[in-house]
Amino acid sequence: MLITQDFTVRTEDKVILKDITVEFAPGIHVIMGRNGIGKSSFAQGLMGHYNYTTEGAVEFYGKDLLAMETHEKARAGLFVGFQHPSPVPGLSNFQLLKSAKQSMGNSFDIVKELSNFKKLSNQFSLPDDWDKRHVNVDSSGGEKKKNELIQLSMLKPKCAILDEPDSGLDVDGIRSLTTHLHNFVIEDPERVLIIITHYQPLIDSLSINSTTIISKNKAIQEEGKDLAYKVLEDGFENFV
Amino acid sequence: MKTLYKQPLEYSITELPEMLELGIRQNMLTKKYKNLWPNAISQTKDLVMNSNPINNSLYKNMDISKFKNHINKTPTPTTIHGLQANEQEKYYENWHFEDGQMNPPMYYSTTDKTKLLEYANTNTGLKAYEPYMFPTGRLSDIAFLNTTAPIGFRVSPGTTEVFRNVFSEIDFESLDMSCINIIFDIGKDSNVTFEETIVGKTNGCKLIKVTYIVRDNSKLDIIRSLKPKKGCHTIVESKIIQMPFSRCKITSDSIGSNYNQEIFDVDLYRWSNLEIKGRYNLHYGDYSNHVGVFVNHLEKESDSKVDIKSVVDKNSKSSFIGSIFVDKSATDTNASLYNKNLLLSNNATAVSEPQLDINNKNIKCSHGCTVSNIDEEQLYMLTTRGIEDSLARNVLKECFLK
Repeated sequence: MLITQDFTVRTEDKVILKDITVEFAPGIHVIMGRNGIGKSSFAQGLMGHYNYTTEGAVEFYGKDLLAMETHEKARAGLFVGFQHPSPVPGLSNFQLLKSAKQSMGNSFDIVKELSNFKKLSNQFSLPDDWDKRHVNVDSSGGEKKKNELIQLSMLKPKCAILDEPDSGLDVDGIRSLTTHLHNFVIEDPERVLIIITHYQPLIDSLSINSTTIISKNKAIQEEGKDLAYKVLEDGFENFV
Repeated sequence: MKTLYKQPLEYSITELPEMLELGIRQNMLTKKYKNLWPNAISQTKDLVMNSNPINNSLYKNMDISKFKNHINKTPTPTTIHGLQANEQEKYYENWHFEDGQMNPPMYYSTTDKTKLLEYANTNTGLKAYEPYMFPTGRLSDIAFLNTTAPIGFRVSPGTTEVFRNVFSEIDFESLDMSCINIIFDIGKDSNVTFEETIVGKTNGCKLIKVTYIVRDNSKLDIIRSLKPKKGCHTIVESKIIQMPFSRCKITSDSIGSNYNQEIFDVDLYRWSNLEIKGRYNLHYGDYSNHVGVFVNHLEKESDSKVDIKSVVDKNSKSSFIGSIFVDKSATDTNASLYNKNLLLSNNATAVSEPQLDINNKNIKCSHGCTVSNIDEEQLYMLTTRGIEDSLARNVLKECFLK
């Protein structure tokens, strides 16, 4: 459960989002909005990106999210996928997950985890040595997105916000994405999955609990995906 | 062999040349064995007496005043001690080198694969190395003049061997400046690894000149680690001569020390290949580490790759000076020179100065130097995966040094 109340996101010199009040119950939710309106800032502001300061209140499974440091939010179960994941030369994909899981206090059976990693990378048709490849170095856009889905699958957060997870994926990649997102909420009915997307085939293929349209000063939220289809048909003009 | 006074004499490196003249410090090659390298000795003496190498502009970014102003003390009869019983077993596992002394491992037979180079024994052929001993204008000239005697060994042709070489003093409490002049001559068609541990001298100075001669078709791997001691000042100058078809790979690491300086001066002849990888992680207080790399492509079709990285934290200081010289006859040279610094504190300093001297158009040459901070976006990404800030910084530091 993720609830924002008058959530405001600022950079040093401007207000990006103001007084956003929305509620995400367990299930799958879609966020839409015009380009540059602040959808990514909403996700990264919640996670505690260093460029942003935030105001308002955010309840995350009964906890005060804004009182936590970024790593504490991750340990509490929040996962944010990046629109443009950063490369980390020198750090292998598997080493990142090992450090992440160990930091979260989870036991780490290296044989079991590596086997799981390889199974996932195989499902996404990634190269055999993907575990050894450095994080997002010399990777295509689609590979970066698949890598984030592997992280999502292995870290098993309570709530994930994915920023255009479909971008750069080919037809098979979209199919795998849909399966993994569907399974993510099936595995644990308490999970919340928030997807920032305007990609109709993805919306078509998922069971959507709510659609939210974000603009600078407000958020319009409706149950189901009818609102998403209205936007896809008519654009944002009637909603901002 | 040293003159011992009841009370120690205090001196800095600026006074060292005069101490040799006065006989307070002694070099066997200036007296009894003065016919061994007469020209090299006289030319170096003239140069050092005329202008102390400590004033060489090469050291301008190297915080050299720390070394220059350090007060050394001559030994007295009471400060000299030998190995303790519990130290002996470990000591004799490795090759040990100090001022004028060289000890092979206890059970090592030097007759098969190595031959010791001894100044007092004309049969060892030490005299033939004089051409490699002429002055450089750098601090290695001081080491050359002020060591008690040169030491070293020759590796027989066709040898495959790992040598564990330790540069540390038995008399570790001495505050006298240690000067070492050592020659390693790797015979043709050999494949040799040197695992080198260079241990600083507690509150003292150590000046090491090492000459590596890598003969035709030989391969030399040097895996070096500089270990600090409290208040130590360590300077290591390595001259590497690579004959045709030779390969040399050097990996050096250190966390710095009160004062560290490491110079590599490499001559590459035709079809030789050099790789130098330096990794320095200065994360203690006001440690310093200064690196100079001078690669000289003297003949055609040689390759060099220099990759030096430093993490500079707290109040530490790092500097790098690197140059590639390509002779006009050195066609088809392939050279790269890179220095990257990760600066983690506002009080830390990193200076980087690359130089190219190219006299031939038909070459491939690249270079680059950077000084940067931790990438905020990378740091943030790691924290979003549950890794706390301090650990994430360490992860990124390790990634940088890979």
